[in-house]
Amino acid sequence: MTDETATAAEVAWFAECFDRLIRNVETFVRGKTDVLRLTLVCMAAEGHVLIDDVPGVGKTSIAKAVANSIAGTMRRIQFTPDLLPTDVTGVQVWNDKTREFEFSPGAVFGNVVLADEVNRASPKTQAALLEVMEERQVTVDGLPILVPRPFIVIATQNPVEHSGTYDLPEAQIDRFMARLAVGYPQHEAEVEILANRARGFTTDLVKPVLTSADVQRMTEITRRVHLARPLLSYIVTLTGATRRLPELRLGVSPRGALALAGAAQAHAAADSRTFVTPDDIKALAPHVLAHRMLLRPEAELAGATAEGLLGSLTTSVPVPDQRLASR
Amino acid sequence: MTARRMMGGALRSGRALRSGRAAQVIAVVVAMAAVLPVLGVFFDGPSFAAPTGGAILVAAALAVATGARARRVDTFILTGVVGGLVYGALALAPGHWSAGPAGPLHLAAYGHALVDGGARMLSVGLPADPTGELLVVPVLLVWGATFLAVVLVLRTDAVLAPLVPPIIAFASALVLVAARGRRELVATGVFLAAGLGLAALRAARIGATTRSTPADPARPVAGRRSTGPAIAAMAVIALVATLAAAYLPLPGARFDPRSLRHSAVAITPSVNPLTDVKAQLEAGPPFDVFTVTLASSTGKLVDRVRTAALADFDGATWQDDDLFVPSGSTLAAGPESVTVPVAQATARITVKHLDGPFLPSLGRPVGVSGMNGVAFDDASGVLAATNAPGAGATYTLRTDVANPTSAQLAKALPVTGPAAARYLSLPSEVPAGLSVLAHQVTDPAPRPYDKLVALASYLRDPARFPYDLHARPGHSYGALERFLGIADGGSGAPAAGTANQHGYAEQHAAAFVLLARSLGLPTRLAVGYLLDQRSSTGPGTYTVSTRTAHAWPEVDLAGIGWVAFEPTQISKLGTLTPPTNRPGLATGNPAQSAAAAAAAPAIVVPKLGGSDGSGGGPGRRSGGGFPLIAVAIVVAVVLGPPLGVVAEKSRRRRRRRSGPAAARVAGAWREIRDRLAEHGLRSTGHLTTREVSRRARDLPAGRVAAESLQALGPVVDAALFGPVPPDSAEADQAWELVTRARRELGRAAGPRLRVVAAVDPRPLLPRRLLPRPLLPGRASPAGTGQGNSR
Repeated sequence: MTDETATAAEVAWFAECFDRLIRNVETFVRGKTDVLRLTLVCMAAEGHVLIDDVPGVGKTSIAKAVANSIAGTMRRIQFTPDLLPTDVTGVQVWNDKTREFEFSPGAVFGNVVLADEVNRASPKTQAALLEVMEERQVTVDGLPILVPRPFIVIATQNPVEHSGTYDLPEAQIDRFMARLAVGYPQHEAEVEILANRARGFTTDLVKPVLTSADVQRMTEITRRVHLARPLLSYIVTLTGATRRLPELRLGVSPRGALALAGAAQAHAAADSRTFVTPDDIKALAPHVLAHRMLLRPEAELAGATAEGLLGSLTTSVPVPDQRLASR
Repeated sequence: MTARRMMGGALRSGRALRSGRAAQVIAVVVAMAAVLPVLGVFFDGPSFAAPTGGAILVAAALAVATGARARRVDTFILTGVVGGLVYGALALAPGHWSAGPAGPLHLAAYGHALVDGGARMLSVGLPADPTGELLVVPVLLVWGATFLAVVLVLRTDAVLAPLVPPIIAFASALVLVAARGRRELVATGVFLAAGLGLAALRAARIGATTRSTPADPARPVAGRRSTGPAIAAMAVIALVATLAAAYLPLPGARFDPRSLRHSAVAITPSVNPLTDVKAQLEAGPPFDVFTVTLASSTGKLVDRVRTAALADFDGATWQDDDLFVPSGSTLAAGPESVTVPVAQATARITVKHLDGPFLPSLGRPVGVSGMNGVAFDDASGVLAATNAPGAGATYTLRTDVANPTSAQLAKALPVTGPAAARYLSLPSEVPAGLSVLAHQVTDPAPRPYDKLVALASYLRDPARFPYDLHARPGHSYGALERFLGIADGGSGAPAAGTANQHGYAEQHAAAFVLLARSLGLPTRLAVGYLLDQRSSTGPGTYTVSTRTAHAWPEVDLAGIGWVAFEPTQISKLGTLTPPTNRPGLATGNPAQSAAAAAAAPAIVVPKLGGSDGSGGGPGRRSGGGFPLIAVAIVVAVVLGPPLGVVAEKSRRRRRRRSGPAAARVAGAWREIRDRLAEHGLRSTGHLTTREVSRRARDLPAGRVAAESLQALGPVVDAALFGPVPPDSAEADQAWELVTRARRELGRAAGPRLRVVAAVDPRPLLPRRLLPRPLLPGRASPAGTGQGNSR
């Protein structure tokens, strides 16, 4: 990783790619620009996204449309209770011709992996996804095998349908950079969705506009977006404060702070800026931090929500208003 | 960095007493020690200093000990409060309580004193005996101030915070001893020097720490200055300020909190002392009132003993509205200064049967011992008993008796000014003939004293005013008009021998007072007893009975004090008085005083108390300068804070505009946030530039400035968070935008709101955004909180 910050030309190219991607996905997914932007920000920051909403609002459509917009391999795993870990990671199979064991890659070997209804799989299978999300490698029979880059998991889960689901463990939910809710579409957008169906327009018809190399370059630019030290302190103050909130059973981990920093860099680049501003952090904090905050049951009964607590925190943590002389 | 700033005044934990802090603790102790001389004005004798000074030392030691260990604010508070209470109970345990309760009883007295000690301090006469009741409040005040100051020294970085408790303690002590002259000037100087030294020490330390940590460009780093010259400068400032204060013309009376509180002692005689004179003289079988044993440093003795002094006449009766306060064994000094030789006399008085609350005294009492429950009025020098003294009650009076020579007396001038106003006032409806008669009698006499002697001998003349104890009683205007023979219009000269010119002491004395006052001579009416030599049972010992009850006038002469005159033929009392030793008494030789009459100054008649005799005039005069001062105070109070706010804002603006470019941009951002706060967008500390400009648009005045604000936001963001530091062109641009936005805001708000905004102090107030529990502390990352971080 180089130390030099991204240049204006680089972020301009980034923003241009970003816009192209958005416009492309929007040909299919209507009226969900915010969700799309957040998804792509996470992608640019090499983070995984968990889309969490009621059935039928387009979670899978968004994931598929994003995946199809990138010229790379897109894999989809439909998580079911009987899905086995080896279905995810792959397995060594005996090749009779070569008389050797050969690795047969599982479903995660793609640039964009769509893990649909991830909470319906057994914890064992979820754990198999866990390693690959963090390490970007699978371990089969003790052998580490790298997954292709870029590697982004877009998972969806269904909060309503609780029977037959296994809640994602804290360790795994922490590995998602952001949790997004889609929400019902606006009236106009919904009309458009129906019209698309009538024209027979499906996600499969979304054309790729970026190569996977482009995406990799975007992630590389993202890492070099300038993040001033007072803002690092601002992020840490925010995340640190969540650990001291009496309403919380578990606050935001340092991994959460890292995720927020990375996402903020991508957000700034998408806005063709070479540096992060507090606006980036504030815009992303609810999506990046809220799912890492676990409420105490009594606070939950009292009506507190992670988003609400985060909102009151951001109104009480002062935004840095001076520059550090030198580092 | 931000976190450090946010912690601000929070108590720091960790190694508390480091080098350098010791000097600061000593400075606090010295500053607090300067409170002691001020309290010394309040208390009689030096014995108050032991518990009070001990409080300073023990509180400082305890605060240092606590500061080294405790890490929680409530621990400090608990230690300070409990320590102070325990110290008070221990230090004031033996012999400090007036009632002298022993053992556990003194704890009860301690409790009572805690509750009403402050009230007692305001109602006691100064200097007060250092009893436990009175010491509790000063001891706890000194304790609390020392403890708090030392804790602040050890546990905060705020430069001035530790000065606040000592200043409060010192100011409280000053207010308690208000209007007692300039004796506390040296103490003030020491206090100032110690306080400024403490501030200098702390400022130097802070400067040093700022230099060692990553520099904060928004605040100019303190220059590399050593502490030595700073301390020297502070000492010079303290010295100059103290000396300057010594030469400042201070108004005579400073604010005294006692004036707001009614006296704890109500002395109300059931019978008017003046009317009681006749009743006593006529008492069937005369009875003994008290015995008195006199001893004087000069061997000279007085011929009369005063009980009451009446200064206020309402046209019908004489009475006294003195303010009595409980007094200790030392009595407060009076307002007058005596320049003539003074004889120190002691009078041992044993009460036999005393009616009324007033206690016999003479001269200017300076001390009384042997009796509890003595109340004293320092203006008139009258003593009274809060509980009627029974037969056999004995007390010893120490008193100063002025001993002027005849020449001094003859040259004496009456006291003038506000102090004399009370003794010059005559109620309205003054008989017109009064002043005419007074001038007629006294005009031949050149000097004030001669006039008074002439007046006394005029009234004493048995041909004009024969003594008659059975004359009609009363001393109202009407009675005195009849007595003086000026009832009919008063224009003509009173004819000798007119009917009803009989009288006794009541009329003679009252007439003298009115005549003297109409001449502008401050006079009061004294009531008491003559000392009858026939009742003397030993050298200087007299048994005083009702037979010698008497009333006489007293005139306030500058440098001498109250001098008695005798307008009554005391030979007619049927008594034989001892030969007088006081030349002031009118029984002295008038011819002798007339001898030195050559170049006598004319009587200085106060402006409004002249011959037209309009009553109450002199009273108004004393308040002459008041409205001007009041207006000045009101103006200062009304204009001071707003001007201060405006000045502070402009100072901040100047500071924000200076320094490196990055600091200037940050300053520009703070500046515009402050200005927006004035126009309704408050507490923007948690908002980003974009949020601020969006919210500003919703303000009534903000829409106009929205464009400038929107342009400012990216400039500020880039300067604060961008990869390269801003150059001065960007800083100039930011300030240009700020100036434009300010102007636009002002224009949109209109002139009235603009003024309101300019003096709005709210942008200057510090605001802590994050609640304390959520602040990043030094706790372990696991969040175990208060655990062992040692």
